[in-house]
Amino acid sequence: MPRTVIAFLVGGSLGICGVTLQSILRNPLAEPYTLGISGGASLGVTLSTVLGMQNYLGMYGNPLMGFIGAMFSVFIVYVLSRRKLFDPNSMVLFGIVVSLVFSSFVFFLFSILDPDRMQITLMWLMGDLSSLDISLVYAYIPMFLLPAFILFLFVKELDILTLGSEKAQYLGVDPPRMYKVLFLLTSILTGLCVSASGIIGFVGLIVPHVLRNIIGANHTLLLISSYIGGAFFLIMSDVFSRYLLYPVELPVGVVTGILGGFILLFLVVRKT
Amino acid sequence: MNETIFSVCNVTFSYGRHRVLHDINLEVKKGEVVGIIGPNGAGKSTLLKLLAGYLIPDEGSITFLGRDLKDYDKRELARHMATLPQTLDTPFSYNVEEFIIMGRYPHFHKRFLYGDEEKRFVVEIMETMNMSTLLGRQLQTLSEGERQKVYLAQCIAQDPGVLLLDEPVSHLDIKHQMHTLEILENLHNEGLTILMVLHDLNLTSEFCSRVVLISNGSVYADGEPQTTLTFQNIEGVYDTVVIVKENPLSKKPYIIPVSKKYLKKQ
Repeated sequence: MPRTVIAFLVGGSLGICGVTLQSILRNPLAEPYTLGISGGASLGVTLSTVLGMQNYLGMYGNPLMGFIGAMFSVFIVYVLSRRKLFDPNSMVLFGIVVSLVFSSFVFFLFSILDPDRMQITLMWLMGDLSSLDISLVYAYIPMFLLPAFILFLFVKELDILTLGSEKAQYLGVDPPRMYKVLFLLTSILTGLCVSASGIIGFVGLIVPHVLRNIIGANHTLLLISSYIGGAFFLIMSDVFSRYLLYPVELPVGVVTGILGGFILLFLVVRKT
Repeated sequence: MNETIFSVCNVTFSYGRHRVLHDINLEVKKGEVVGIIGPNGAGKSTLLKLLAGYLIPDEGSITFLGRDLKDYDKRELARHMATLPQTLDTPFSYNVEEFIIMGRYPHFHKRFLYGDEEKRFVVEIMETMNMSTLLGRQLQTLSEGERQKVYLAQCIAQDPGVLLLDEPVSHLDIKHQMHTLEILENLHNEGLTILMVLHDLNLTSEFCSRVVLISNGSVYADGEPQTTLTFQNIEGVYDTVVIVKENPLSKKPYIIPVSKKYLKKQ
């Protein structure tokens, strides 16, 4: 049960972060990790293993270091973007660079360390719902729900921002301020997601993509349905990951990747 | 009646080192329809973006309704002024109503769904613009002409006193050009002040009460069509030989460009 709760919170949050980033970057292929969070989080968790943080912090080691790593990359992207007034195109560039540099560090650490020790870290990097301590789940509930609720307050601004920053300003939105607020909200949510369950790919890409086709671009409906859709998709994937090769358990990120990949391919092929 | 809308004073603007506009002085009164014309790259769109508050002048000042434009909150400004940029697109699919109702944003302070009053407002605008048939259609399925009308309807939904338009009719056939400009004429009769960048000199002559001719980043001529759209001005600015006649119905100037092959013969 606690595992389902976490799958619900993470799936839903990845869904709405995906919608938000796709809308402010005006790119239907953006996803929660586009602005560099995955690189920082990976480095955090890898360092946690390298430094043996589990010895001091027990089960809190990986979630905590993952979150700190994520926020560190967010901080760098934030500082760089501030000079560009949070121009979406610059933010993508900074995000990609930060993610690349951090990932390279991760591969460097992997290459010089004992592979057996890195097994758990590798599982985590692929997205893993199995290793979270139950006592953490209850602390996560309010932490996940608060930023998600605040994000829901900006549905009308999100509609307008999809028209581009120039037109958005003419309609009365202050784009640099809005980009900053939305970037921080999605970063906190995504940071929480990676700290709880590692880097689960494709949920934040595929869920908004499918739902935009079904219910349209209006964010009031889109955000709510993406939360529910993302939660549902991740819970289903988790069930698959547990019983597909029973008793061996797959990392849930592998399942979402394969499922999501096929769905996306199907959609693209059908469209053309 | 003669309230001043814009007062532009010695404005200079550069993109990086490239100076686009210099020493612009302009006063726009309530109820004017101003056509901004000039060759490509003369600075017309930049001037419009400055007036819309999207760009900030490097030097000089722009006063809007008696206050410095920079001092306006974005939302407050959007209640007084609606701007249609040259290009407008979105990768996502909205239906026509959802798109137009975004124009109510500066007036509507609740967080989530727009109210019935706002929806009625949108339906009314679509009726007066004679486009009720588009109700419920997806924006991406519309023709260029229909889409341009939807963009304009969104601006009108802002219920502005001033309308700034960057080439509102450039991609349209003559039917849609005339229809769009007639809608603007009706809005003008209701008291709206309109400034628009145009390329077609004859449409400018027909529909604008005042023409501002921009050349190389400064105002070359400014006044009624009869005094500004002379063959001397046009040939001087566009480097093209033209004949200027009088439109037999409206008595406004009518400009005919002259091809070089006829110049050699005479």
